Amino acid sequence: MPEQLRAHAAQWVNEHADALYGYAWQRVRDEDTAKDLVQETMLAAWRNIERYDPAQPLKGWLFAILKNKLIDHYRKSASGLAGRTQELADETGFFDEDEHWAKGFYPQDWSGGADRQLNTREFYKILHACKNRLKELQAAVFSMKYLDDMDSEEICRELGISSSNYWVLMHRAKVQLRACLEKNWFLR
Amino acid sequence: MGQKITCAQAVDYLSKKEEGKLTLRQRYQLWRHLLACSLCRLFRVQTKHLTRSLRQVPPANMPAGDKAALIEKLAAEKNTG
Repeated sequence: MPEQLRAHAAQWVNEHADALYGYAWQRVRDEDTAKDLVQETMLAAWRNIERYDPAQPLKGWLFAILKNKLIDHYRKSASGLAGRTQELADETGFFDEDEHWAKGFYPQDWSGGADRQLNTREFYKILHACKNRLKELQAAVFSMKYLDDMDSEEICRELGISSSNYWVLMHRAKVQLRACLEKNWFLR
Repeated sequence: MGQKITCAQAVDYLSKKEEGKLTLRQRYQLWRHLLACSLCRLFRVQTKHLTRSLRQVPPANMPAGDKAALIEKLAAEKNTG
């Protein structure tokens, strides 16, 4: 019964796609990746429906699949990272040769800017956009730490990266995110 | 107690401190650095603020067109299979 099937599919999508998409959207850098992850998640669940335990909420099962797919996605960007820590660390000039803040990159006092209210829709838009400018793996460690409350050891284990890689990624993510917000929101 | 640390190190120590990963000596070094360095003090306050704001970002919904396409894809799966 194709119509019945379509109605069933519509029910799945209408009930769960937004929640899955919102979760993925906060954790990857672009909308197409978020869409792909949701699509792959729903297709995998749909094809393997016999593995679903109807005693459990469907939502929890779908999220478990999505989380696995998300980790796979992150791991792809982490693969081949071993031995490249130095390269990760070297990419900018936020600090001078003495590791002091470089002249053009001094953190500035934000209260001196225009009255930039926090926690407005526009602020969150810029925050999200700035996070998406980070490299995939920087954004990944940052999200896992500050959205999912994981600690560094868990994150390293999930991504298969070394602890020195982790601290370099975290360092770069924070410095860049802060600078991006300063430029595009607080002192623009 | 301990050598002076640099700004770049202070930035690292701040992240490690969140997880309780600093030794007593490193905590002292960080404290002493922050006392003397207004740039790193700003950095600390501002990043704390940003990391806290991150989870307040309102999530987006999936565009309607993509949902419609997904419904078709799911329905087609079992028709052909």
